[in-house]
Amino acid sequence: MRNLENQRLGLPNLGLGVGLRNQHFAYLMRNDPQVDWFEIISENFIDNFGFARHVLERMASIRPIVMHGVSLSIGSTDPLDWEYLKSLKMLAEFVQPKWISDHLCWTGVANVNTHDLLPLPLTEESLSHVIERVEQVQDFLQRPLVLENPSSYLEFKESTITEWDFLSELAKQTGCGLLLDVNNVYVSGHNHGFDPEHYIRSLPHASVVQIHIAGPTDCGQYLVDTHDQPVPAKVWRLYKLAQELTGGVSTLLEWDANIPDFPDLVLELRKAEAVVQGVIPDAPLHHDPAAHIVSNPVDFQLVSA
Amino acid sequence: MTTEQSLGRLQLWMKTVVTERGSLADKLQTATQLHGLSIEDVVAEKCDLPAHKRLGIYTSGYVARLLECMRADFPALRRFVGEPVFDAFAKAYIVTEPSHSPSLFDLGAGFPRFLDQTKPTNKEMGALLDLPAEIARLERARTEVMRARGVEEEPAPPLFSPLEIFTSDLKVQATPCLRLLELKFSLADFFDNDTDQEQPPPPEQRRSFVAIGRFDYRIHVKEIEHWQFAFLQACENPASAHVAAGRAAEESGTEPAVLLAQLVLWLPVAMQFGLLRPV
Repeated sequence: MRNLENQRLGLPNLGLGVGLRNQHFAYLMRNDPQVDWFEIISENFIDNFGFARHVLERMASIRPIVMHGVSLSIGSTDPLDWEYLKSLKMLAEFVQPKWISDHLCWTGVANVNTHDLLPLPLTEESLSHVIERVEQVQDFLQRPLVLENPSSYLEFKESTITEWDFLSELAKQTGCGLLLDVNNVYVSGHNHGFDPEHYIRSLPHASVVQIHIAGPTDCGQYLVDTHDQPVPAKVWRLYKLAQELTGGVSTLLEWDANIPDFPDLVLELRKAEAVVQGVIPDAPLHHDPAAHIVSNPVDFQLVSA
Repeated sequence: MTTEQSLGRLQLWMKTVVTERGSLADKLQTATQLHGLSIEDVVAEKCDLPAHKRLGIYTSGYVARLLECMRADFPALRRFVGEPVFDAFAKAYIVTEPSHSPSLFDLGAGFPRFLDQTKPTNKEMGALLDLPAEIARLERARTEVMRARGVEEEPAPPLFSPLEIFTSDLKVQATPCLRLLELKFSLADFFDNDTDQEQPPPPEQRRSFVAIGRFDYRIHVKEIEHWQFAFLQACENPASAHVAAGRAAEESGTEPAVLLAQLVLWLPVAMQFGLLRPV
């Protein structure tokens, strides 16, 4: 392990966690959580005062919570949504999260929200734009923002900067943290033809606060970030590399569609302990050429799911 | 493209391609007309995966993702009209009224109104054409009750006797999560009995009143009498139960003395279902 100055922006290594999903609420209210921490989708709990809030309050009393958003739209050319940010801050006052994260993306423009994590053209213009907005958000939240690399399916002709350089410069200039999704690196690397290991080696490792792992789907010509499968061996190898380079950061297993029972989810998560010891599960990449595959599934955000 | 304009212009172009109606070719044509950019101008061709295919992942994913949300928010309507018809309704709504909210919870808020505004005008079908919008209203209200502020975290209410109504001392208020609906069909039972049936028979067509409340995080969908509906409306703000009963009697055309007698019996029930609380 390397000795990294100001590792993780001074934030703790929380260990192994999973997303707090409504499919598991009943189980979690009756059983020990068996995980070190939970990540919540912020939008699921903003202005939600029903049973979900009750479960969140209970979990927050026994485990650390991290807030992960999908609607900040930090790269959009629309003005920042201050009403959303106020709601986010109010939720943070209630939850007292260890940190707040979102994605390097835009979700809409002209006041339309696509509810997708859309890619940015990686240019000097975009970088300046995102830097300015990250600084505004950090000033407002009074804490560093943590941004995740998204999975993507297209690149813009106009792009002049690699995603790892973009994130590195963003972290350097704003002091924001990075949420390194090694599955997204794998998916985007496959779709755009870059080396995922090179991507991970090129990041400023002291800025990495958290890692996401997940299982994607091979649709034949491209990979899709489906969050509905066990983590494949190739993603586990990237995870091991990332843990070595960062010196150890909080790990979160994302599983957002076809969500398994909680004990099965924990079994998948625990594989991460063996991986850092060098034991890589021999899990294949899931193949499904079907046309109905959807990236960034929203099952975990559905009321009656 | 100037540097200053390029980010905003690219985003508007992509937003148009993702959210416009029609095939990918239709969407691209609209985007070119509106923003003066073609797919060849915007998307890099790499790794033997054509630009159209890359863009198609986003355009097909947009509708599919939001359709999943609509299916989850309106399960009873989905079962009643059948999957293909529901999907057609929902897709039309998604492309006609794109989301303006950061929360997917708000996505379905305008669906009942959309169904009402776009229903066919076939006089022979009569009120039956109102049924999809009515079911959607009820399902939306139920979803709102699930998330609204309730009384679970409040201190236990003071003990009271419903007979206090007669002394004018009892003050009550509707719970903050209460939703009241006046409907053209008898939908409360239909909604309750709907869970296991693939395609349930249509509900009875008659005026009905429904109250949806929450107590101890359990949702209660109850058909109520007209006087009960009027009484709960009169209790939106803290009110003397006696005064609210007077208003309800006037509103519903019920004899005041009869209403008061019925209210004594019904108040504990209303509180048990999370419709009302003493204050």
